[in-house]
Amino acid sequence: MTTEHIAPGTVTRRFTGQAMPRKEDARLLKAQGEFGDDTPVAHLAYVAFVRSPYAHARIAAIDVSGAEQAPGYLGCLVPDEVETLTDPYLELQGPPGDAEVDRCLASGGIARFAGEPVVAVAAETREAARDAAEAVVVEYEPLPHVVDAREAVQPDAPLVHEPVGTNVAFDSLYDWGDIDFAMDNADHVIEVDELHFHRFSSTPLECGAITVEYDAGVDTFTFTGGFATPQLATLNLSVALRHPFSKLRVLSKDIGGSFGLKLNMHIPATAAALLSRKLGRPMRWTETRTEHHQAGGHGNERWFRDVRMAVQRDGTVLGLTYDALDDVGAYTRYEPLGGVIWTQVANACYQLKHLKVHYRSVYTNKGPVHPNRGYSRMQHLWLVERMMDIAAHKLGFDPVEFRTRNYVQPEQYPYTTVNGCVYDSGDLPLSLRKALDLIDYRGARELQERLSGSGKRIGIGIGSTLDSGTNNLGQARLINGELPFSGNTEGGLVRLGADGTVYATTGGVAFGQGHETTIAQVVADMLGVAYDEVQVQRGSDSALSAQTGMSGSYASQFAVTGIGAILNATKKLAHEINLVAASALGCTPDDITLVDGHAVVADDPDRALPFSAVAGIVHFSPADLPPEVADEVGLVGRAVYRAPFEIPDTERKYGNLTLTYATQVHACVVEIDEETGHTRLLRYAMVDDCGTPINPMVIEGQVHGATVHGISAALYEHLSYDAEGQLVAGNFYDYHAATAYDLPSFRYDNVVSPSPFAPVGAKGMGEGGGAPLHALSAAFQDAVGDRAMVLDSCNPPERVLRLLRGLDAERVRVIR
Amino acid sequence: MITLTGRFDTPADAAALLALHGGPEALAAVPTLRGVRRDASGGIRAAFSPRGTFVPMPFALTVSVERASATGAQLAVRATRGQTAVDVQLRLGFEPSTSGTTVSWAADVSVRGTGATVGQRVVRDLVYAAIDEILRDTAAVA
Amino acid sequence: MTIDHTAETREITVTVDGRSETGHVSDRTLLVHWLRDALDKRGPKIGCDTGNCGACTVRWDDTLVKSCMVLAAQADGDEVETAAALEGEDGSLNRLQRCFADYHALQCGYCTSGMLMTATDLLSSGEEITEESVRRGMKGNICRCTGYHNIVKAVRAAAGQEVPAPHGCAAQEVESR
Repeated sequence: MTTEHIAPGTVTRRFTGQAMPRKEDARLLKAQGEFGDDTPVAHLAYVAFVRSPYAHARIAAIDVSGAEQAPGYLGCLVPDEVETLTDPYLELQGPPGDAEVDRCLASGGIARFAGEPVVAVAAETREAARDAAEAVVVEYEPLPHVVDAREAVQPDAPLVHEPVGTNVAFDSLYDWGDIDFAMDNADHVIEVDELHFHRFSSTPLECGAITVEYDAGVDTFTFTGGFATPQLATLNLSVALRHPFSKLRVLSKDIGGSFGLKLNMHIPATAAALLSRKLGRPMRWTETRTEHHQAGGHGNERWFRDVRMAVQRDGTVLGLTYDALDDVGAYTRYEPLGGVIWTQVANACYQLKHLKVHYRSVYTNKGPVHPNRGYSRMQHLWLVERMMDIAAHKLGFDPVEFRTRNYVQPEQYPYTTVNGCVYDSGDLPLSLRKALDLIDYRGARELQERLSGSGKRIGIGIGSTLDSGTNNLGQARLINGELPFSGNTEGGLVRLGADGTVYATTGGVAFGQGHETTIAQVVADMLGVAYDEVQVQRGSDSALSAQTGMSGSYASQFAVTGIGAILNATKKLAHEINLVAASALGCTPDDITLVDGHAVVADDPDRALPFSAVAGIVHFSPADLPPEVADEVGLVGRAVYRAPFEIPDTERKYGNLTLTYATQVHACVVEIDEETGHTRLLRYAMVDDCGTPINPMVIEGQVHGATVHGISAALYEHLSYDAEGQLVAGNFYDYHAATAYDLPSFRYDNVVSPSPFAPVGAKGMGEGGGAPLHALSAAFQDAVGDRAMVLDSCNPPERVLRLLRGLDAERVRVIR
Repeated sequence: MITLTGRFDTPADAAALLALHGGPEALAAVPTLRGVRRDASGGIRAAFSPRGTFVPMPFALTVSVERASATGAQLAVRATRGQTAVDVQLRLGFEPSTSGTTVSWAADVSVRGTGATVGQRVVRDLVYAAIDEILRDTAAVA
Repeated sequence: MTIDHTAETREITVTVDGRSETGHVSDRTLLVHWLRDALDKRGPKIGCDTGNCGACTVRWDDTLVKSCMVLAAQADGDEVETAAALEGEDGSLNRLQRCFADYHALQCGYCTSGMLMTATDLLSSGEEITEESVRRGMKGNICRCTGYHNIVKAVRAAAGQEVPAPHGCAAQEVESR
């Protein structure tokens, strides 16, 4: 631990833990925010991409003569140029996937998914850029394509990347405990042929937007846009552009949602940068909705095959095994990290003893996957929860008792999983009881009985899940032993301005989570100033020293790493304030307490110095200070928070991979129209436990948002492709993101199990863990009993109708 | 893949229709075609601006005649415009009629790109109209 | 409206947020692009290009429209109001905006201006405000952060209805924070 716990009594917690109104809100409500496409830039030109209509094709010829005739055309960038001018990005995978080369335009002159950028065109206006792009004629030689991961692993499948020699980018066997023993000796074994976790995305309302300005005078590129990991983006841009790291600056202001997907913005940014340098103009690329759906990043689609679960007669689940085919689309990008990220939650919510998974990351000719809210864990969590549910149905256990019996119990924390992860705290049985109370479980069962035979069918579902937060980046070594990553840090900077104003800057990147608010809460408490008096920097800036290499918003970690770094930085600043005040007030630094914007002598409150005076002395009258104090004090606290991790054992694939585990238990009651298959949510409840809350209002809001992402994915959203590899959900007509009218009001409650490992007892929690997918699948299962089996995570009306007619019943067997 | 079929009558006889295969010059008279030429592999290239369309931007057209006889022909047609590609396997049948020839056509059409994604609800009708139009216009100059 | 054939643009004059604005636009320029690019109006946002998401919602004379579905030229001589016009003259938040803040009805803020415009229209429509009517009235606006629950609460609170306080906040504290 590198941050001391704030012991009760030492700091007055006026703001931390309160539902403080958000600092971000005023500007956003007054239409004065500054999002990626908002900033006016002089002499700005616009970029549009020509994208491949083919799922897989060699580019035979590119004719830009039509574009050259378009009014306002400035220039273009073609794949050959990119091959010459750039180096490949940093990639995570080892052999064989490391033979893949990803570039900002069709790498090696081959387009590998429909929607892949082939030519970038620049013009004076948005319209001119699009006209010019439309006038570019590309001749394609279609190549055989593969859109289904199950076909892609067949020996005769077309190769997405010829040099890789296989469509399997990553292949790993995880084998913990003794699964054979469990399967051989268990009272019951449930076997399922195949389950499918479908492809969807959180589709932030703001698509990608990047502005690149090249300043020839200092040979520096400045990138503004939604870069979710600014230092990693800078590193990648530096490598790709062969441009010094020191001469790249990555900024973000307001970001209209990322949910993880904007971790790969450096790729289109490379094209915009090359055009900016080539044409001597600032360039902006604003992604359209269709482009975002084609190429902005999808969530991981996963097939689970040959799934078996071992269960005892008394309902104890011993273990689980399956083969996973994770469909990563045409490029690995952040993958194959998903191939290990899921193991953070290997046990899901349960006391499993044995787990064996053969995991493969598989290329297909579809849009690449990016991390998406619940990244890679939610797929495994869904599978485990689905198997728990199926086992209960097939073996005749009560679904509530069955889960409760197998949950990690409150007294077992800290609980070590099969693979050495340490679940920090929680109370799942209490969370489940609260969730069931919120939906009036007993009443719902009565309703179910009452409506039976009426043409409306009731289903009641439970979804238990984990939101693992604060990655041990050492887990990257489990996919590639050569990677130089371990642990985790975030940076923070807190300073006193010349007039005594408190400024705080995080290394993190916010896209709606209220970082400015929660930072101000903890800083105000530690420095004893008013919440309104803390100025928090909007957005992020790679040139400020707040960031560390790992900075950014991913892996549900801000409440731990971001806040931890801010607290450490604030502590440094407080120490300096104490030094200055002590010498001015004639006492020792230990005598000083910080109260109401003053440094006060604790046992003589009349002797006090306002922060403005402290700042005044340091900034304008250092000669008033003893030299040893004046030399030490700059009134800048810069610190990192280091999460206490060790490097995992790469042989056994064993070790703690995340610091905190927030839990969510959801329960719902759905009403299914037997004639149309339409599902109505009658009651929906979620119980969240993310440790000690910093701002309960913000937490509740995050839970609401993650809930709707999950509900919408479970009922409506599907980034499906046809047999030609064409995306059939390329805008919000065909990709239905749930609206207010699709949803009920939620019933929310929480449990507080402080994390013993985290700075203020708070756990990271934004991603949510996909509980609605689990809960709704279970509700459908409940509605159909064991006459059909819910083996797909997306159940729109047409699939619900098939469930009502017995879909997939034969694919689940009790073999013992 | 979409399969479309159509039929129309033209005063031209089959020989005249087949003569269109002879050279780009004849096709130059088709009002919706511009820049008709023969490419290195013997295919015909042209810019095609269908009348019924949402966007006044021509398709880049490549036509290879795979088979042609007095009773019919088989053509592979590729049309691209911006981020849409339309690949057509077109089978033509010529049947003499009292007033000339009845042309029947069957097309296996694959639409890819934006036309397939964003245009999925209208693309069938648009492609039908475009094929019908270009065939009638071409027959009219025979 | 004067048509300048040589430059293929036409001059339009539109009263935007109470101020007369004159611009030269091509026939196809969308109202949302003109408002954003020429006037730096950041209320209307583009989230979908197809009229689904409502982030670009503005008032055009007496009609609520998605400004990506209207040509700038169509608004010539008319009045357009964006979310930038909602605040009080002294820059303070109006009642609806305050309720959005009080009930945490926004996260990233990208959909917010459109939500405010639609809710303003709904609240002044005379329609009875209920949970159901608010959900129906707001269904043309997509939010990907909040799950709508708090937006519905904020709109109902702005209509004077009693709604549950945000988690961790006593009911009587909501507006005094």
